[in-house]
Amino acid sequence: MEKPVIRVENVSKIYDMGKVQVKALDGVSLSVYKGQFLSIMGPSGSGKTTLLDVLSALLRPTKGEVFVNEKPISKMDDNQLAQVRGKTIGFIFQTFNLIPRMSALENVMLPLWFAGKPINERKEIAEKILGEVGLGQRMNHKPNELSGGQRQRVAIARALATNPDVIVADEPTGNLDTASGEQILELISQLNKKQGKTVLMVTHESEIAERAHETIFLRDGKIVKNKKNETRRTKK
Amino acid sequence: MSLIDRELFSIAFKNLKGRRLRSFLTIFGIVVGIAAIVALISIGEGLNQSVTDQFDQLGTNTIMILPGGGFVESVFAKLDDDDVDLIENVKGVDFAAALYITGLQVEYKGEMKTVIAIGIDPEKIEQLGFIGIANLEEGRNLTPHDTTAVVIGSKFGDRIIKDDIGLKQSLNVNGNKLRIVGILEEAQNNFAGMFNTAITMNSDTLKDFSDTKITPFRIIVKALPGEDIDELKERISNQLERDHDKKDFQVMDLQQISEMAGSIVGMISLVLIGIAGISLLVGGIGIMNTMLMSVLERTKEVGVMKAIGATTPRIISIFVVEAGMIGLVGGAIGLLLGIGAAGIVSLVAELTGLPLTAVVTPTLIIGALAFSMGVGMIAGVYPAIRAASVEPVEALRYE
Repeated sequence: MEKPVIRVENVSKIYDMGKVQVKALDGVSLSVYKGQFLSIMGPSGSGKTTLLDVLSALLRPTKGEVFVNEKPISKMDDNQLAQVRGKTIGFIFQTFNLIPRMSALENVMLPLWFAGKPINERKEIAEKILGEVGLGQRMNHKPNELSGGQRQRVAIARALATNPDVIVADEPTGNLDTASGEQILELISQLNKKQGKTVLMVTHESEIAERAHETIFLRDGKIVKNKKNETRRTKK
Repeated sequence: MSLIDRELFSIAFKNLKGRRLRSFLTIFGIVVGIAAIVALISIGEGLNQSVTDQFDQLGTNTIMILPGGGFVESVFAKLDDDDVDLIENVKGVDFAAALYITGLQVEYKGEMKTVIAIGIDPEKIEQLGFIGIANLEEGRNLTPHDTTAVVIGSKFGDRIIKDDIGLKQSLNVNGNKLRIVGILEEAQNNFAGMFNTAITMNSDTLKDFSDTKITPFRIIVKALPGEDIDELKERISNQLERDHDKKDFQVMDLQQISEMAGSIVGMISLVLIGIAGISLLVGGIGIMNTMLMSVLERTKEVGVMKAIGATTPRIISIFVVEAGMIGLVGGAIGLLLGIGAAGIVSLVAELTGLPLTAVVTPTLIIGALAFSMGVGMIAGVYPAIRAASVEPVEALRYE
């Protein structure tokens, strides 16, 4: 059987708040396979963001183990982990999180710099991807000169720069109007369908979650439901 | 993967551009510190060179006798005309010559001026040539028969008389005419610098003109070739002390004279180094403060960079280089100010007749820039470590 790209085994994340301990995740096990499109839903405080952080190797769990390409992250130091993230996982955030002083092109080149790619290669790749997300004409604009939808496209281009297997999106349409949000979701779906990227997406809107092959429902740090989405809406 | 590359500097530059005013205020301490260091070193280097020139010109076998010993005696102590003969008879002495110096009221074109008059024994003018009074720009030098002839320094006309005074013109002293027979070449060494703005004449005439009895200002002694200078100084000193019954004079060689000048410079240097050190410390703390603020402001950015693959050394290098660049900009401004200050000192020195020209070497320029960048980078280390220790998840949720 195919090996999972990311696998978490019985992970818990406990925050020590002095007098009380908060269990953000409570013994979650999950395998994510290549090409899968998974959405995570749940009410506020259910632990969905924490699960995403753990799945994307941003956060080490208090208990349990996380495997990226079957390698346990507990054996890696923070720098190795950063490099694994850089290579394996592309991030899309609700608030875009672009570096404001850098142009779209430079923002997309940044992860390639961290990955140690030479300058001309960085530029070539960034230009190509920005073209693919429809920003070929706006590459030298700074984030504040771009609309919300365009900013999120830059962020997607940045997430794709190192050609990672997994795209992690945390409420990617949360700061966008309906039309731009729709375009961004379509773009993410296409990445999954056409490029075979594994997509992990946190959202609190079921309509958005249904775009995924599968939706996981969390409550109090536990997976309470696992639903296959039969009828995926696909736009032409 | 190399940590230091073009991208690092371009990112640092962008970050600084975004907070120009704050960065500029921060560099003030660095500017002052580097300016002080550059001025200090370039002036010191200039002084060093002028002393070296002096050595080359005067030679190491020159000894000078100055009146005065201790603090009180120096006011009253006087050298004697006879001391010259006495010294000439000391074994190992090639020759000795006295220099007299006094202010003289002269009249030129109906105007009275006080000028510095230097008296020498014209018989010794050839031998004294090495101190810079044998080379003439125009005319002839004094001869043993000259009584009322004078030679003037190259700057005497410009600076003292403020007229195009030249050969065959004369100055009046109490109704006596002093005829100008020669103009000296401009002297380059410190000691001969005094001839530049003075008139030089027969010491016997000078004594006659002066109301008070004038005694030698310096006795210049040249040792015979191969003579041990320290032993000769000892012999001269003993001889004079026997004659004067007390040690009311100083016997110095050029080494000691330059050491004296060096110790004065050393004291000034110490003060400047103090200022420079404090300024650089303040500057460094300023940079550290700015960088810490900047780390706080950019916490989220650091989180993003870590999320997308930046390692700890990478984050540290970004902030350290940025701090280094603040230092470098401060250093560059300080360098220009320091060169300017040294230039002003050189100009003032030239106007007062001291041949001191500050020397700015390429080593100094590169050194000052590298040092300022180094101070910035060191100041940036702590903020950079703070930045790099940010947890990506916490930073990403930081508002």
